[in-house]
Amino acid sequence: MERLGVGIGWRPEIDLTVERLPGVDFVEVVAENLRPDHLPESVVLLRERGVPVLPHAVSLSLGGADPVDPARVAHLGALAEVLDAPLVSDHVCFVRAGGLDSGHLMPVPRTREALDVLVANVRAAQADLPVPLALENVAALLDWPGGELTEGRFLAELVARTDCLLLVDVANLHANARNLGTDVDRFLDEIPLERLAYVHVAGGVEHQGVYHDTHAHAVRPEVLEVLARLRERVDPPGVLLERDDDYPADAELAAELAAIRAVVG
Amino acid sequence: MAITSTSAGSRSELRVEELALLAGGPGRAAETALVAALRAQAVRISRAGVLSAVARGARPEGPLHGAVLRSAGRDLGDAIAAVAGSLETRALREQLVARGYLTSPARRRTVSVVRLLALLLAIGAVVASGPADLPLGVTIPTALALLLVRALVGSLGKPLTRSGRLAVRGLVASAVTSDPVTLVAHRGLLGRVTKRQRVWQVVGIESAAAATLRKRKGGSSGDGAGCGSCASDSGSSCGGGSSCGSGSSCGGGGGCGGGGGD
Repeated sequence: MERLGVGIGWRPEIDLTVERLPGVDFVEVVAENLRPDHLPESVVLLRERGVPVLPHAVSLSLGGADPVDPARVAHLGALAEVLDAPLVSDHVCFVRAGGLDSGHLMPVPRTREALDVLVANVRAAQADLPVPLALENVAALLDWPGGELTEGRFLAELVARTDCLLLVDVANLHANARNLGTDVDRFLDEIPLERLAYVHVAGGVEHQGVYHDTHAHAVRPEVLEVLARLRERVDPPGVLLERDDDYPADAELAAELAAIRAVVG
Repeated sequence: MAITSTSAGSRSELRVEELALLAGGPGRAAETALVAALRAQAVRISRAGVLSAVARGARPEGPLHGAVLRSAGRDLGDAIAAVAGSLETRALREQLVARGYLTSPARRRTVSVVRLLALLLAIGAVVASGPADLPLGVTIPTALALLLVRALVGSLGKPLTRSGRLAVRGLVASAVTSDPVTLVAHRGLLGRVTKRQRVWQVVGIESAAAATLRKRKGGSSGDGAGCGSCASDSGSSCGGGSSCGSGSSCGGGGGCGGGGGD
């Protein structure tokens, strides 16, 4: 797996911050927010510096019952090509059904039937993508009833049947552990870590006993602890800090990157 | 003249935003407050020029800081226009009038009326000399006296009082590139530092962001806010170092604060 290092999510509000932060080895862009034929100046600059830019999609809805929208896959593929990205990613989720958009990354029922649907969609997307596809575990506020597999086993079977890569979000894993009782160690033991592309780390907040994966708060020590437990098992090719709102001062973001670097070594 | 951006101003001590307002009007004051917030990491500007508040960032005590934070989400040009047209900027201007640095709008209106009357009477005296059979030895000196009154009264209607002009001269003396906030107060973001370098470049603003400054020139924020800020070029022939002389679009006209020294 290509070494990526430590990175941060590129967002237009903090483009200059991302450019100036020391030790940013790679960045990730939200694919739906970029046009391949009109890349932001900042992204072009980062590419010229040799910084890998990875497109991260949120709208393929691979876990949905509808077939994957070829236009969305084409957009993601075009971005990967123009950015010369080594891989692209989306989530193990669905975001629309029956013509309605949820506005959220909805968890997929962990049944074999749902897995079949997911696998079919992932294969369809892979067939039209010019680079490998990595899939990310989501933070869920609910578990659908009738689940037949643990989240780790579900992901492991997905990887086995599609040969996709994994993007492990340790904040999402912490959220599921806190809110749904997911066993972190079992999850990490069950997923094929040799297929790990990189890791997401993000901030959140706990409110009335529920952890909210806000991407608008500081990274909590518990999330770094999950990262440490992953690090005990594997040396991740890359770790990326996601921040999507309430952007703090540059120094605070730099400190979060340093904290991540301290965990992964 | 001491310059401060934190302590409450007094007659002998002016905040840098107040000096900016005297030197270049509300737009200049807005630019100065925004750059001060930027330097304090209370706000950040994206490459494209969109302003956003820094979470848990510094909260400078500048008089326009609240207006700067409220302008988050706008591009640089629009943000400056919004701050320039804010209640805070209006209040700052009124304080400068009360403290004797700016001439009040009422006084300036009165002076304008007096000047107009003097001119009309002078013309009337000359024109009426024929039909009214008045000797030219009376009407001509009368007209000249009225024109002299008009000229003398004119100085009372300038936007800056003598104290204001002195304050701006103090700002000119203290504005150096090593102090970007004062430099902005003196010259404005579009002002020049050298023939090839503008102030926005010294401040670290990107060219795409600076491009948004142009669209507010002659802006439409109303009530004086559209005056924006004049660019004060290096080597200006204006006494106060500003190209925004009295009577310019951002100086004496339209209640937009001072226009720099005369």
